[in-house]
Amino acid sequence: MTQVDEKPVVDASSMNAPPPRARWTSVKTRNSLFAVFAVIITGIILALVIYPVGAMLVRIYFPSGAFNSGAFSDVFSSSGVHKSMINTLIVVVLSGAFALIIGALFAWLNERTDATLGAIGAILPLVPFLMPPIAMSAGWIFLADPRTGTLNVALRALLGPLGYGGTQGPLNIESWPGLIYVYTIYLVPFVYVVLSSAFRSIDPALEEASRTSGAGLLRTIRLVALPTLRPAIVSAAVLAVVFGTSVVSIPLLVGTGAKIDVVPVDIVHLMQRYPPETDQAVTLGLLISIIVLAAWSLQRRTVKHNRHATIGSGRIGSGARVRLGKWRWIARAAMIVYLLLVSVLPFLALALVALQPFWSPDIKLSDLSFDNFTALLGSDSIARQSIVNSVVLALIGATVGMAVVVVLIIYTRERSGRLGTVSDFVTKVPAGIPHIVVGVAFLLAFAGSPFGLYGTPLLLLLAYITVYLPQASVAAGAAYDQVGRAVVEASRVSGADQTRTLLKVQAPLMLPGIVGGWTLLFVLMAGELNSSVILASPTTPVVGFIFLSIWENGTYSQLAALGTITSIVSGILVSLIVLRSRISAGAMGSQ
Amino acid sequence: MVSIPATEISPAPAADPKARPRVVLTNVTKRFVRRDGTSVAALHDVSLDVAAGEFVVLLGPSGCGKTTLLRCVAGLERPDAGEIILKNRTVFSAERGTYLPPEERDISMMFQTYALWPHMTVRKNIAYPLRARKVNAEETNARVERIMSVMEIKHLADEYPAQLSGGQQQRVGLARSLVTDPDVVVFDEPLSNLDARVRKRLRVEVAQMQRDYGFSAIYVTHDQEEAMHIADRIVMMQDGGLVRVGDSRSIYERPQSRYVAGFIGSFNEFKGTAVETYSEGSTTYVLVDTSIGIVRATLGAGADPASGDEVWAGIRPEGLRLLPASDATGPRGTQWPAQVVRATFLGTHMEYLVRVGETVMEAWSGDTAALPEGSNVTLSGLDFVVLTR
Repeated sequence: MTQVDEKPVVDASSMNAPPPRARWTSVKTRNSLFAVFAVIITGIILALVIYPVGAMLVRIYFPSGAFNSGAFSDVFSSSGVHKSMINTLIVVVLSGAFALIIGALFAWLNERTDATLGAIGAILPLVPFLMPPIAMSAGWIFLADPRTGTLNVALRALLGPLGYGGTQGPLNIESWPGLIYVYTIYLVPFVYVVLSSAFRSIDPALEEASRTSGAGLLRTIRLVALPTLRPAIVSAAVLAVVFGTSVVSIPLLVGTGAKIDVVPVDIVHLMQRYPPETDQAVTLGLLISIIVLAAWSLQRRTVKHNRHATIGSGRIGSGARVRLGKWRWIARAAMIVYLLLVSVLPFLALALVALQPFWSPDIKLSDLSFDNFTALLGSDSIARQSIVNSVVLALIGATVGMAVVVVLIIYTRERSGRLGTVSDFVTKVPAGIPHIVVGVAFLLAFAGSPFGLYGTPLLLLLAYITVYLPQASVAAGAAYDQVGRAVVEASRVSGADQTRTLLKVQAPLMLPGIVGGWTLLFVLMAGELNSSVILASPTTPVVGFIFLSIWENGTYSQLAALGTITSIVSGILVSLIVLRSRISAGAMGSQ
Repeated sequence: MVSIPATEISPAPAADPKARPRVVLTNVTKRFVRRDGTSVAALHDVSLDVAAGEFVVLLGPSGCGKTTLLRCVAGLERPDAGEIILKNRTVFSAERGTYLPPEERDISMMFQTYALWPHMTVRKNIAYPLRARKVNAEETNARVERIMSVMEIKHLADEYPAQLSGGQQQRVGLARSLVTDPDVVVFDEPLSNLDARVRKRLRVEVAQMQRDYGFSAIYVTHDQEEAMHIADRIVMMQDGGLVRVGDSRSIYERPQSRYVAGFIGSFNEFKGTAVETYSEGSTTYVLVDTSIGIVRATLGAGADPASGDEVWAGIRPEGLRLLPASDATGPRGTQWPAQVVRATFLGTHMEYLVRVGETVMEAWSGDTAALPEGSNVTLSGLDFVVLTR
């Protein structure tokens, strides 16, 4: 043992130390209350996530204890289902591939070349939230319906003198190309987010080293850039598969018209029959879940074995951008055109049809009015009721959802332990279960006895909170991590206990992130469709549900009005998120 | 684990020999478990005392445990064994299960990343520790104003940290640490993030504050020049243990281990075989057969290598002198024929690379008239010392 100094003059044990017992207990009690809270919350979430799905599986596959394969045989013997499965495969693979290429190209253009447009980088990731996919699908149908689509009308007028005859086309949204097109533009932002972040964080020195070693651009791309990007490419592909497989609104609107059925649509149809073919619907839902879970686990495996180089310190953003010369403008134009295609154009189409008394290719200025809007928002209109319901549910749901995950994250991040792992797992699990499956599961578990929640807003609320737990917990986690350890430790050493530190330091610094997460949740819940289609009813309508009803009714101009309203509200809220995050980032400087 | 002959440890300078040390660490051990399950001892049986008003610097490369030790004192890490006493209060005792959280230890800390709260003004940042300890508003304001005047940051009172430069932020951090009039302040490499010029200036301020306020300081750094500037005692650490404790001079002149010698200042070291030992007056020498020939090295007390034992000997560059090639007046083992390989002018001194046989050594000379490269000289070294591994 290293003896540095002589032993202290007085034996330490005889010194006057305040009784450690009292202090220890008081600190422990405070922590215990918080701990109990966290445990209860985790338990409830566990119940919400595991019970419905588990009960549903048991009920269908083990009705009397033994495995019953009846549902499987029913489903897989149907040739219609075979067709749907193949269709789904084709659509997801093709649109996923296209989205991957386009998204990667945009990410590369924006992050690594001089064709960058700052606005693009900020807006592109938010595109799915600007316009709910159902509104975008409706918009594109209004644009490219072969007979009455606005774009087609315009194109026919243009091409007529050039010899284009006929009363249809040239664009046909209700076809394979049309369907794949809408899927593709829907999936591009997901790919973009992952790849742009990857491009940003890869050390440009890797590529520079390759170039200065004599390798040309293509060789560098092949041997250095692509392998380095592989985890991100896999993540992006996984996201594309997950979202492509689970989206309901696009195939429901565009696919049905094209007579192309996919699996999620089959699930909706099965549940809409009287009596609902629940077993078959669930089996199909299970199929989707397996695909999604397989995709997620593939991603985890790739990330785990990540031997790929990321940024060294201080190199973020540095590295010369590729100069594209005159191609720069073409590249920028391409990105702007994409943004227009995915948001502005369909929005304008929606607005135009919304102003018409009924959907028609002939636009008479004298016929345009806000009648559809007033009818929609009229006092006894079911649409208005659904908007109110959606807003209220989203307000409550976002608040409860964020509050829950914030409590959990604060508790679990400050100590390691089994509770932390459990709650982390539990909040991420819903990401692997398509919303429509959750909808079915909740219906089966909670609608009847003993809970009797059929047709109540509470059922929807529980489903929304469960379904968006992953997004909420990611936002809360980011908010927490962004605060950093040092400022928290500085507070503790300055004499503030855990509670004071939480109130005075952590909470204020987490607030912008929490508000951002809240807003995200609000937008998602207000426009939620994939589980609302199962759980909502004419007595408790919500926006997603009403969208589909109106569509099935054929009152397209009212649908357009609803789509316009939702797009405007979403757009405003999302812009607020962007503005707020820029303001707070500016105020706090770099952290 | 390196054992140190007891007589080469400088004790804490006690202004009042009967005063109890402010900080007492006894057998502190801290283990971390890696992801694959293996356990790493970040601290191993560390014992250290810090006297009232003493400035102790924990020095070593990254991974040596100095930051872990500091955080254990602050209460941000919980050791696995041992005892920590702050100002006569047992803040940690593994045996008794005592562990006071950081807010109850009544010490202050300066952070490498400043850790100023970005959502509070400078004034609020500085006032925070007083408010946390329930000091009333009036007294808080008075003390905050006072320390801001002393640190000359009054003009920044209503600014937010993001608007300040690195040096200003760190000055605010210092003010925040001192506003509570602490008896112990711990510093976690507070100047590492600053550029050299600002670092030098703030270093002087920190040292000045410590003298004026009289608190005990435990200061972590990897910069040996910084350590020598501000420390009363330097504590050198390696792999979780203390390897050398003493004031700058004794560590520099008698490093004792190759690790310490190489870490502080420059060093020429040689492995060789002991040939014979002899005494001259009060000094014991050993003649070592090395790659440059026979070298006379001073032995530390208690060391007695037998003939044929492996011995490490070394000398600092400034201890070597370049004499004319004809000079042969030195005692046995202190002169060797050499050739100048490179001469570099560094303003304050000349830095020479000289070759003796196959070995190249570094030698400094205050005489800035450069010797031409290639010239033959006699290399003279009277101050070789023996080092342990």
